[in-house]
Amino acid sequence: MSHKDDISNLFRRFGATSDSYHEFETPFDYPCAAPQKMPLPAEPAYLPEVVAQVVENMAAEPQNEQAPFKSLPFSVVTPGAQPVVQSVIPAVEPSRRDIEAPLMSSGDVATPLRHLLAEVALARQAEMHAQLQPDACAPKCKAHVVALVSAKGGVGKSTLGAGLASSLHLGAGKTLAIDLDPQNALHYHLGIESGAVGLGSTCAQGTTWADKLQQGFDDAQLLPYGVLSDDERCALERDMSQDRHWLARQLASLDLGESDVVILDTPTGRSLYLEQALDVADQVIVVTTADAASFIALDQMDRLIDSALTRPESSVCNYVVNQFDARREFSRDMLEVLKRRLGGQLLGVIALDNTLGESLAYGRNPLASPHASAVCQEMALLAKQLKARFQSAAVSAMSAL
Amino acid sequence: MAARRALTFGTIVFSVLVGLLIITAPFDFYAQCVFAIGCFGAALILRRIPGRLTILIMICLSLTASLRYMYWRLTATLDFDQWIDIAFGYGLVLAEFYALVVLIFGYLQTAWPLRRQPVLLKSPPSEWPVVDVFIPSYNEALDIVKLTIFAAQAMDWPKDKLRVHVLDDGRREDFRQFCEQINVNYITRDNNRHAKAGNLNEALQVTSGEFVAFFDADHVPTRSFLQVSIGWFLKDPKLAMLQTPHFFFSPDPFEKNLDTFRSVPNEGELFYGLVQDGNDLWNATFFCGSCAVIRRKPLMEVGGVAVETVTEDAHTALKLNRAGYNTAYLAIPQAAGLATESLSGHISQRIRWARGMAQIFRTDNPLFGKGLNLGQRLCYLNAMLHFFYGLPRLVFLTAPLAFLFFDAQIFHAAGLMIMAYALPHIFHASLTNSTIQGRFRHSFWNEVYETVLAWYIMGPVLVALVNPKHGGFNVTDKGGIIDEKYFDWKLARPYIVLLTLNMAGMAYGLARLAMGEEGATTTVLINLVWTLYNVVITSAAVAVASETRQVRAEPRVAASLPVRLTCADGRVIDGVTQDFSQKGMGLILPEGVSLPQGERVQISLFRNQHSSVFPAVIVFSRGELVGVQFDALTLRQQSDLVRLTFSRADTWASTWGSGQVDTPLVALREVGRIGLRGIHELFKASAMEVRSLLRRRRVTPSTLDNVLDK
Repeated sequence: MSHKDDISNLFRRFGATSDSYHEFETPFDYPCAAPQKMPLPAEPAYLPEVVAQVVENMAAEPQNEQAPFKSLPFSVVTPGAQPVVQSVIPAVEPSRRDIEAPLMSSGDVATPLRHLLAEVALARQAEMHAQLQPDACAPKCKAHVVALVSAKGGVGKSTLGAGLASSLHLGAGKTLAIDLDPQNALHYHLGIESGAVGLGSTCAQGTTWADKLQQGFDDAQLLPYGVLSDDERCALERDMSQDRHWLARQLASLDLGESDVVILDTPTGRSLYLEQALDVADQVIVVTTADAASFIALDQMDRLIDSALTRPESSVCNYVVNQFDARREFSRDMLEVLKRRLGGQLLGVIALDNTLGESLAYGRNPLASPHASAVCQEMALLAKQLKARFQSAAVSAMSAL
Repeated sequence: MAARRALTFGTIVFSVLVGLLIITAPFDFYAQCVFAIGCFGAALILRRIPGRLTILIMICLSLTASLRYMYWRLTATLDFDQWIDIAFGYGLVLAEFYALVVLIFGYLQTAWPLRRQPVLLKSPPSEWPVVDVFIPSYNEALDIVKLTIFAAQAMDWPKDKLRVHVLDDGRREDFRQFCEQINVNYITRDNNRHAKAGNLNEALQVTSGEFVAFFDADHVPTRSFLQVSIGWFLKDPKLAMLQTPHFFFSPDPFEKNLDTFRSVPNEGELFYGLVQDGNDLWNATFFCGSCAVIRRKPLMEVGGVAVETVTEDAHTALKLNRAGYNTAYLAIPQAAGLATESLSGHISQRIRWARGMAQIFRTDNPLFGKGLNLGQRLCYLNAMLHFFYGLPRLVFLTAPLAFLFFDAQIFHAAGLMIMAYALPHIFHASLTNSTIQGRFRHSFWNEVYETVLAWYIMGPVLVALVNPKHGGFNVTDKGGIIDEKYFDWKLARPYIVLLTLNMAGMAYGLARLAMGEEGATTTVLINLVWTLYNVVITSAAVAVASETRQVRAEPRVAASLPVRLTCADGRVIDGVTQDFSQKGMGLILPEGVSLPQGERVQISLFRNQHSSVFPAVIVFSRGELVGVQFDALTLRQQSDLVRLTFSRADTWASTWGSGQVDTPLVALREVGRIGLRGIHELFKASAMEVRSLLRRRRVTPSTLDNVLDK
């Protein structure tokens, strides 16, 4: 997005970098600009608290990782802009716990005790689980594994998954989408008529995963979840609960190479499928939308991801804001709040586009004409950024050796 | 040390002696021809090697040719015997002498542009100084000034250290209300003494920032202006003033009427592209009244902005230099404005500059007085001498006629000998200037610009030279509509006269040639070629007077910015802008996408961290091209729009100095083509005039009456 950066364009003319440039936001206190108050559709009392808390976090920790921002379409707001927000939103006593803080602060007192207890219990269970299977060591999969997760439904995980599957290709490698969601919807998004035979089908033609792969848009290969009988589903879930590295073993059997990519679509919220996905993914992408409900669900998701003890060390968690409606002031403000909260973890923003829904309805490839819609370009950008992450991960792995 | 000084001194003396020898060596016709051809050939070859050394050698060659010519001219051609020869002959010599002086000073000024780079601010913003921004206005429309005010407010500078002041000499209620609404300071005074200079001085009394940035009411600064320009002040504590170029996003009357916008460098580009940069080497950058930063302390020391002359800006810089302060020039356009709309406006602006420079020449001559070094004196002097071109230009345009009509022997020499000396002088000067100025001024255009203005600035300059106190200050009108194409008869009158005279002279000369006069063939031929050249130049000047229709009240800026359209049905389309203005935009949609006229859309614009949405309606649609017009925007939206368009840091800089490089022959063809068009327009306008004269007398649409009345 360098064409948007006027300052570095200018500075390049005289051989300087724009690093030393400071940006300042002007407070708009124009009187006739009154109707800019945030309309809050749901939980009207809740959001300001969160925002106030985010602002506080920013104040405490203004230096988020700066480096990866340069490639983002939007980057963080300079610390100098804080007074703006503070003037818009009256400071409210923080009532929610900052999940990033390792220690309890005085603000934590207000956090419901049951949440804390539940967390401890979860951690204990996971620990027990891990002790039960001391020998189960995960086979390492060479391919890059991207898991799309979210705590709230309807944010477009499958749409994004299909988009990534058809736009993210590493050189000559395969791109493979695996539908871990019992809804079994991903195959529609990739233009595959029948998704009956999938990863849980035991009585079908092929027995190995490789035999069940189907061809979708843009050379993407898909393993659907499949239409499972109750017995098949029970068997599948039993396998998963007994073997923490079940998915890892399955992937290993596919014999993937370094330039292959696996995209995992997961069901909403906590599930066995999510645990399996988190176990293998080296890129976890939390899909969210710029509204209050998604924002609230972020905390839960963070807790889920943090409690997944078996995640590989190299695993990175990033966020994508989907279905962003730039026309609404509220959405733009929400995006600003998200940017402040997520900082460098915000990987991209995808605009709301109704043509996606229409494409699904007519079985068209939404990315077929790459210039016609903004979403295509944003999807391509997202794919590009993921690629860059893969490469930088590879480089750091090399240097670690 | 002493040895080195002696060596330098010795070298200089030696060079001067050799130079004198070369200049004064008498050659016969053939020797002179061989010498001239050798030199010119060397220059043609050298020209292909880019670099500063090439330019210096070419200047030496050009000076050799020119000085040899002048020496020969003064010693061998002034042997007149009739009074008419004496009058015309000495007149021409004086004009030539003036041209030579300006040529030499011009070389001195432009031989080595400094090309200063910006110093970036390293200290944290908390240590940055307080800056007052002055936006003086007198009669400009609020719609135009608004843009400047919003952009000034949006400059990236700590908000508690950026103070925007609108200095309204028109004392208008709508200005006061607007400033109040958007929280900028509004300053008025109870009189209009000393026009703009007085206005600025008054505001200096009631403000206190360490620095003052000046923007004319129609010069829109980019957001990076202060961070790019303040750095040098912190590095050099003696620096008092830093000027940046005046860049125009609308065509000036020359560009508009001749259709040369962005293809031929305009009148101002030579000054800001080369002359100011050259001045900077000698620490003699002028203040140009706008797009500049001045340190308050030195400015107050010299008594504020100068009020003695009508070009208060240049005079203020002269005073600062005299007081021992430095001035600097940064050739990065960090603001852009509207060029004058009509030819009459343009001419009256230049008249003011010329008169002001003549006033400074008389009242505060840079050759004399304390505090300046030789380079500074010569740079200032040349800036003033430059505006005396009126009379010499008219002399050159009429000189050959003296021979053709009256048979005046203004050159007491054989025709071939004149060619052997004069042609090298002219060719070398053209070639060298073309090489130096190529990106900022095309060959022969200087003559066109000067010819248009010559008649008009001659009078005021002479008056100011005799009586510097005479004459007032006129404000240049901008941003108007010319609602129909017309021919500005009144303004064109001087060039029409010149054109007619030269045409007649040419016809007469051809007749003389046809009759085969004894012994005068060469001389007649030389004068005919000269006259032909004059016809080309004057006819191009006539073309300028044919005012083109201006459709939009608001000039649009050509720029390609990413934009996103959201249609009423939720469709999202990415496109790029073709141009933008305060009220609307031209957009290019992706291939195969089009939108019907009348459709309502939301336009999103971006700047890395910033995006804003503006409601608009499609008012024009043809294929992938659509024109949109914004709905009534709130103040916040208007301000946002300015931030995302006009105040972008790179828009103006990206077109700076990247124009077509000059080649003299192409330029001559272009000027010739425009000359033909001028003659065509003149005939067309005459025919129309005759037709309407049969019906009733037509009222002339534009006058210069307001120019000299104050």
